[in-house]
Amino acid sequence: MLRQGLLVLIGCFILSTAVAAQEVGLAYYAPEVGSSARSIRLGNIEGFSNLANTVFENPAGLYRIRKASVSAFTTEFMDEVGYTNFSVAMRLPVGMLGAGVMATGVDDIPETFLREDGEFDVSGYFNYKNYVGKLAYQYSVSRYMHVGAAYTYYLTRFHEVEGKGQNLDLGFIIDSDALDFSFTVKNVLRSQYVTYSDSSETPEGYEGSDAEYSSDGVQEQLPLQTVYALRYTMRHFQLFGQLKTVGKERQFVRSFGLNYNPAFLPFFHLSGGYKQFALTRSEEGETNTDINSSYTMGLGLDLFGLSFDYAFEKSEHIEFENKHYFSLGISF
Amino acid sequence: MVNTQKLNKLSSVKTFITAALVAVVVCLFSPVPAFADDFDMDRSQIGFASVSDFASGLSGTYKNVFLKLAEKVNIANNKKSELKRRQDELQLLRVGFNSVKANSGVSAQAFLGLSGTDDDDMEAAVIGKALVFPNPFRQNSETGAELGYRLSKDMDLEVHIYNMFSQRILKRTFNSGVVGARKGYNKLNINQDTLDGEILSAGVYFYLLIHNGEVLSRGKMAVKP
Repeated sequence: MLRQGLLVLIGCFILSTAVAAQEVGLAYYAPEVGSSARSIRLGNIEGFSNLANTVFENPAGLYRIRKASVSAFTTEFMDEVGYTNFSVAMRLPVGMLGAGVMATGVDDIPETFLREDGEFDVSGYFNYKNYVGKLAYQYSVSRYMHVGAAYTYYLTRFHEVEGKGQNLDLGFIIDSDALDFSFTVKNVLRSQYVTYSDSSETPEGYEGSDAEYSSDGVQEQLPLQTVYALRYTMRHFQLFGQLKTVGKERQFVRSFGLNYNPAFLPFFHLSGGYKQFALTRSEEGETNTDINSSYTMGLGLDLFGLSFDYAFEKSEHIEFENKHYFSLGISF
Repeated sequence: MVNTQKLNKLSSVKTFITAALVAVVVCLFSPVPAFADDFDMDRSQIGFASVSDFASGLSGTYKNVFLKLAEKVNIANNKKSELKRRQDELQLLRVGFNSVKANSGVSAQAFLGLSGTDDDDMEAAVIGKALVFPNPFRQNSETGAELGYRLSKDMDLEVHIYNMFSQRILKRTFNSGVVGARKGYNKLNINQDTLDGEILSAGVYFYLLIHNGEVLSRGKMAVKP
């Protein structure tokens, strides 16, 4: 069992460290928001969900579902960006099968034109839609060791631009009574790109060339991520720790979470978390990629197989200082 | 003797006209933002048209008077010295106006009934919508796009840009009067140099224009890969 586990780990490591041959930008990856309020209230700890949304985190985690599960998540940022995801999972004779879709949408983006007086005006509006679809399979090597894989389909549409891509996530979990370990490599195929088609015409007054305006044939890469997470259970408390590599420079970011499940309210969960994230930011003309951090908190209710979770996080937006997340799950 | 009296009368008329002309000149050139290349069209066009008409009329009147003067007192031969004297008068009147403004707070604009153009009294605002052209656009290009907006007056301004995760990816501060924070229409370039060569992911980004902590305008732009 140990040898099999090591082989999986080594395989994932080799795949994840392969350097992309082509210098392209990174694609927007919606699951970065978090796949459930439960994960977010723990500081975006991934891999320990008991519900179908684990297809977005670690496909190996599907083993925790007894028969079937349904999960939904929603939030909105800045009163503009809507996030929703929906996932299902079901146990089959050959193993667990799961599927999920995460959608991001922004409406009423103004299309503009150049007026004769040199000022800009609105000629119409268009919408932005982004979908990340997952199809996952999980297999239990033993009672303690579980592996999984998730195929990812990526689709984005706005104006007359469409981007399509696909990739693969690999997951591995060791489950002991008190200590669990989760390892995931996301978007492991570095030769796969999101390829865009663009049928829009260069607008009048645009000073660049047609080639400069069009993004037809341009590629982006889905971000490669490796996630190492631990969970330690101690009576009514659960401690979480996570290391994750993100971004082009493969920076390590850390997360910590604490969950309290009181004995007198066994259906109630209270959590807090700390998370880091890498962000490239330009401040007064100076651009740097730094590790930033934020704190999260929230609560959860588990009643008769029905889970409701809420998470709260501070935002650095000047107008919308708080982020709220809600998720609902059914498991049976 | 008669000629000397006429000359004195005409000289006082000339002095009055010169004073008015100086007022117009001061008005035209002292409030630079009001009549610079990017001024508020609605108000300044009316102001400029009025002043322009007034100046044209004054110029014509002055020319006639001057020609009559030239005929009657025959000053054609010493035109240069007359011009020099007139320049001295203009200078004295300018000093006079500045002195009056300093002591009473009444500017040349106020004197001419154009006190409404004083920027200090105006509310800091973005007139109309702040828009990006073209939208969508490719940030990963030399041309990129421009963010255009009209300010009611010179003001300190911050531009913030956020990504779809509500994370601020850009903050830029413009001091009052510089490009980006001038009265009138401002344009800021957004291209591959904006983030020092860093390529933005394709998606939607949100910009805010902020003055003294107050959001004056907001908008969204779509970035192509």
